[in-house]
Amino acid sequence: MRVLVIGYGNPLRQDDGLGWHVAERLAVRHAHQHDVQVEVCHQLTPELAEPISRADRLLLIDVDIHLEPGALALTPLQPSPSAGQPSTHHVDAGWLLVLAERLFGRRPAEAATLRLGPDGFDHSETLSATGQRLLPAALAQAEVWITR
Amino acid sequence: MTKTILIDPVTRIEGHSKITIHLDEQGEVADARFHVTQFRGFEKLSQGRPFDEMPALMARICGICPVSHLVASAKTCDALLGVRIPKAGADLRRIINLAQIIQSHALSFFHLSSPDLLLGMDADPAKRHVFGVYEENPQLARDGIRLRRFGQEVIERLGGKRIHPGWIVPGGVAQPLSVENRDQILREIPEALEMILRTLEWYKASFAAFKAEIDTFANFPSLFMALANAEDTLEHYDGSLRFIDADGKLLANEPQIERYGELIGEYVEPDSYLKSAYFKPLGYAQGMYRVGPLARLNMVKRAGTPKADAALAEYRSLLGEGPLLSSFHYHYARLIEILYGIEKTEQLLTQPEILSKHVRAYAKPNAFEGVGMSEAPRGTLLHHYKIDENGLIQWANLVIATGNNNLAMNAGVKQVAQAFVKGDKISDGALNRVEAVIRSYDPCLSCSTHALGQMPLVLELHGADGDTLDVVQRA
Repeated sequence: MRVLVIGYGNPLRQDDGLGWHVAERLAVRHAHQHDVQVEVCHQLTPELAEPISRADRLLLIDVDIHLEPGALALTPLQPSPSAGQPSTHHVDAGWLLVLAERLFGRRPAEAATLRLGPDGFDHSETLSATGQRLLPAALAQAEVWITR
Repeated sequence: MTKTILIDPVTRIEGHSKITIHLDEQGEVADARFHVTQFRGFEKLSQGRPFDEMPALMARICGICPVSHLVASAKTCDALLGVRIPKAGADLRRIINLAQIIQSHALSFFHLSSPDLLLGMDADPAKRHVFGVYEENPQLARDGIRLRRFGQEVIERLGGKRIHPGWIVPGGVAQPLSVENRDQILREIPEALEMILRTLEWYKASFAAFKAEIDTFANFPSLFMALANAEDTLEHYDGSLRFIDADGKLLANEPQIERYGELIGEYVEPDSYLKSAYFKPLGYAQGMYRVGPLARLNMVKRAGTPKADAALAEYRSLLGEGPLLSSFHYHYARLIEILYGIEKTEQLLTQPEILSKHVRAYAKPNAFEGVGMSEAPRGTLLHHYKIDENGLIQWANLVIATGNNNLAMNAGVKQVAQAFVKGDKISDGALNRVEAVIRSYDPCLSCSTHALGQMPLVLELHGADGDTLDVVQRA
């Protein structure tokens, strides 16, 4: 069972980098596991469609400004064929599932997003105090999902 | 009654800009202007910073072509140090620079321009975008995604990450190349070649449908500028600064690039944050020149690698010998450069010395002023720094590829507008063509904006009597 984890965000913008930070740590932990691949990136782009198509299970990790600071939520991700105006700087996660299937013939049987509540987007490489407290919980939740 | 048409923003380019088209009393296009509407200020905010921070700082100018700024900035720092960097370090910089060109050209061709090229300039705007390409020609879309990913992965394998890799440093590169990374890149070369050759075949069979655009997309005489080597093959990393005219006549070939100021002048128009560069010996208007893939191919006798040589020969047999003048041919030139980049990468990686551990020269500053130049995806890129005795930046000037093309982009916008925008019946396809001529240059506006003075950007639609008239605008 091939697992792909994609953590994304801007690590120069404080808690916007939460997904990035979680994924960096997961990449180290799972560096020697052939069935777990971790991608760390700034944003979702069409180039991710092919690795997504090869995965059996997909976990995306990013902040969600609609969550309370310090909260986290794990929700299923569904394909969404008509997800807003396309842009090569950012694509919708649900649309990436559609793209993976349309171009590469396959998409993960299971997909989910781990959404994290940010507490600031200052120009900083350091997470906020809330973000730093959230990081271990986010890691633990991601590990539970990866290993179940 | 005069009229002004506004295209704001210009779509499917990198950065923010708008176009104004001014109609005369007869409804004919009197003038058209390309305005860059974003301000960055890197030359100012770098003042006071230690010079060895500059590559990392300048890389943040852009997320599409950070490697280009890393290379040019590092070369400028090399000049401040007064070092000759080890061959392996220079070749590794060449490889990552080529990878940047490959992925950036792939983005430009497949994601930004292929909607027009595949679906047509007059296609329904609701479908004339990259996802429309995915639906209409999945193979072309797959090849585009994979080629871009190939370039990004080469950057990551060399530099540690795809965007803003900190590996290119003053004096060379930070780490040697591992056997594992070299071998992995070499394993991916055959498929990358297959994809670009397939795309070239598709393009050759398709572009004839765009005769009207070829004839009018900035199809006029201009000078051309690029870095050049002694073999007259493609040169993206080092060499002389060369200018030719529209007939291919050599106007200047300057090996001492620190003398660029004798050849390149810069001017600021009041309606744009993009400086206009020009060939100084001929003055501001006459000195218009173009840079980038079209200019680079116009400059050389051969590409320098076998398949790219063949592709270039075919390009010339189809389009004509001598400098090509239509900016529509930037698209074809980009594909040939992708092919060259992949082949050249393979050539460099198969040299045994590419694995050398000696990849960086070390020194303290030995000069207070330095210039570095390289070929970015969009054209010649120049950084120029002055430092004090503590190594702190006192002054910086950047001459960006897109700025080199500014005069030609403006002239191109006017030419296309005059050809396709007629009177009071303005079609979406006509406006798309006005945007498409800008896209053919693949401008990087985030890179290129600088401010000297104010930009009094006021958008008005008015008639000769001052009344406000209809505005045609894209959201």
